[in-house]
Amino acid sequence: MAEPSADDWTERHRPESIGLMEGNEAQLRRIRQWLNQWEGGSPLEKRGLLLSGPPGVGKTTLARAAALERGWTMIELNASEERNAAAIRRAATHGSQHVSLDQFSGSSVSNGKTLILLDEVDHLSGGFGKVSDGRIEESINPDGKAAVLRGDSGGKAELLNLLEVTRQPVIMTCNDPMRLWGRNRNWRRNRDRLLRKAELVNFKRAGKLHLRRVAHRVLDAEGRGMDPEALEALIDGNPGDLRALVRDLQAVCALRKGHIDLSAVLDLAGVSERDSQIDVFRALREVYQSGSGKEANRILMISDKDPDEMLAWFVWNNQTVFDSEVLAKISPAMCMADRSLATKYTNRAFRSWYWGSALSSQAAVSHLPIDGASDPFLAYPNFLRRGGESWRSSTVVEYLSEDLGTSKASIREDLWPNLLAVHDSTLGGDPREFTVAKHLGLSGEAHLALHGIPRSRREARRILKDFDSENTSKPEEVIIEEIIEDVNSDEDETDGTQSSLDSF
Amino acid sequence: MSELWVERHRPQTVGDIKGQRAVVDRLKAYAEMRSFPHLLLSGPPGTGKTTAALALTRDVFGEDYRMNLLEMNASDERKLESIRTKVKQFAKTAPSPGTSFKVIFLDEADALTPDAQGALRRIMEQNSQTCRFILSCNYSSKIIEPIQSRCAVFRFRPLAEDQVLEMITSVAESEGINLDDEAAVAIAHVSLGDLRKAITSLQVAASLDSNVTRDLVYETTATAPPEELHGYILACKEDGFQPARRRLKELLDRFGLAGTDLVNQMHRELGSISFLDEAQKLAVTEAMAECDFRMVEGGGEALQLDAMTARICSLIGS
Repeated sequence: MAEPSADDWTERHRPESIGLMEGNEAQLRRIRQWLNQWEGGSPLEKRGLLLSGPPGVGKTTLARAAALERGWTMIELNASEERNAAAIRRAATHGSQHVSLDQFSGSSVSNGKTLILLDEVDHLSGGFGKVSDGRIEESINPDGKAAVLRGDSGGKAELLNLLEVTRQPVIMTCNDPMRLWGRNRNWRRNRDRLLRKAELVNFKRAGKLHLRRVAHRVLDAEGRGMDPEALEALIDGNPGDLRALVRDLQAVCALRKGHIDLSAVLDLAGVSERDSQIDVFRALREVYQSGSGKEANRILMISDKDPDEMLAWFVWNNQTVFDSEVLAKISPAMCMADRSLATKYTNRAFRSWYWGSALSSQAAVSHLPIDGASDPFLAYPNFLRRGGESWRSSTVVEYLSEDLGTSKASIREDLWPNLLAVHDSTLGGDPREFTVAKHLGLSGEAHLALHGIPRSRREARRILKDFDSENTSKPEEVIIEEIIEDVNSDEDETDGTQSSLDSF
Repeated sequence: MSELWVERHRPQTVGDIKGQRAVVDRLKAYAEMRSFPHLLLSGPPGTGKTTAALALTRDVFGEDYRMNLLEMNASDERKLESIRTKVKQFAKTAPSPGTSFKVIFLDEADALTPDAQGALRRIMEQNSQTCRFILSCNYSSKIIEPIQSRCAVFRFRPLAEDQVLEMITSVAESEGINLDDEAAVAIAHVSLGDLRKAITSLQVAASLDSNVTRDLVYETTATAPPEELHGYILACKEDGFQPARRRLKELLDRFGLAGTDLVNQMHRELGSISFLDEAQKLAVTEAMAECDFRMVEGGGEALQLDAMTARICSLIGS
């Protein structure tokens, strides 16, 4: 029997210095500069860093490596603890002052800093509302009474306070900054307040090159060998998550003694795909080709996508699989599927889920695809996409978010798909029809982007010229009704000038 | 007869688990090494997720495995607060002597709020030396990506009918129940690949009569047998509204069915009906879904079922 090993490779091989980290070079360089400035002594203007990015790209690792390689001490507060105003003040804000007093009196650690790491700040619950200092102090020194503050209350406000008064470097991490400033109408103000004192650094998913390098390092350190094609297969299935890569490596190495070949990796992949890797295309293709509702249902049963998501995939792909006559025929069924899924929430009738997938899968097999039953062309539903996927959308989205005073996320999710649909030439969008673009105050370039016309095309130049020669003044203001949607909006913020896109 | 057969016949070691071959092979390797990473088990109900988690823990720690196991399911308090207190406390305490780690099993982890899931992830990492997590869920897409990134993910598939047959036959044998072949097939049919449901159905039927027959199975599980459902749809096609309506009423009374149950069972049979094409099946599905929706919203059962019958008759009647 092998020795019982409780070792976790993801911990064992966590880089101990920034130099050993892979990927995000520019970001790391910038962070180094920032850390070096702290060595200089006096606190900087931006005393915090907000590291944002998907899981497993090294945000927490970076903070730890920075402290380790500089010999700094570290205070860590993560989402597994209560992080209300009192807790943050006790652990971090006070700490950020005390150490500096030691330095003042010329203590032994002359340049020793204390790095304060606040992990997963997007999981602080609640808004930026402040709680009074009195209540915070009472909670810190409860006087025999039970602590007054519970949960994370006042946590975000204390975060701002900490960034204001700290004499020590503060690093925060998050997956989704939007979640940190909240989706209520004060989001922009919250964001600005935080980013005045902290610099936002975006981490990207790890590229194949980096995944490969990390894999080699780990395998070398563990004294294990792996066939190149086996490693490539492992990397191909990885969404750019270094932690998941190391964990997969540990899994294959645990299950096979000696050299790892391709079959070991394929074996593992058979049962252990992570959700983001599931081949939903394969499932869809099989459904469209199955020609039977019974078979389609069976395929969906094992696809591990919930009916809500599956419906979105069907709605999107039906457009390319079926001609308009069929689309019209099946649209009542699709609407009913949608309603069934909604009933689950409104009525707690969980069995309605059944009809959501039964209707959409039956609709998918009830008629023949455009080109007979041959290989349908499938696409990823645009409205499931998240993040800045397209170079041309990002500036337009940014402009619209500024102009309409709402978050980029809601532009992307709510407005953008509609705009694209309106401008889609296959659905009758005319590139010489400027009304919408003018109305929204978009530039000619943005108008081209909406139509998906590259600027290099000759046609593009003519359209741009026509666009500019038309009356450029923005017509009457777009009127957006305001919805008071955030119940726990912060009491200290009365800024009501921003409106919500939800009213569209 | 007080004990649940589902519990009594739960496989005790990973090696005893039937079906899920690919998953079980890997879990066996973990059991041999007496160690495993964080695990996320995902799949429909009754496919062996809880069984696998408990069996693996027992294989690793032996009979006293409960000492090293904290089991929490949706019936326990699992808000953000309890993750931060109860789970964290357990994760931090030292493992019992002679073992190197402990196990926290969070059943139905997809019911955890995203905040609670968020709190979990650093606990998983910080205590990975002394504590392993096993999470189970129906859809892995309901688990936030950072947690998936920390777990080895295993997918459980619905059990095939012959696997269910094999299991209930062996349960019936050890319980001294006389289960004929037709009845076994009926149980497998009713269970839809959910082994827990299959064994429970067997126990319920056997509590009335130790000679379990096909009719008994359908009666005790409040399920209409397939041929009756076929008969109704055929009546809609050939005989018209009144005869079809009579058949439906008879079905409801004889098997003690609620309207929504009946509609649901009827649709599951629709797939195997050969005298309708797929476009007709879509139309019938729509009629059924509409009827189900109206009943869920509070519509009167008799009235709605009559309307459904009328609509199906006009859709497929000859």
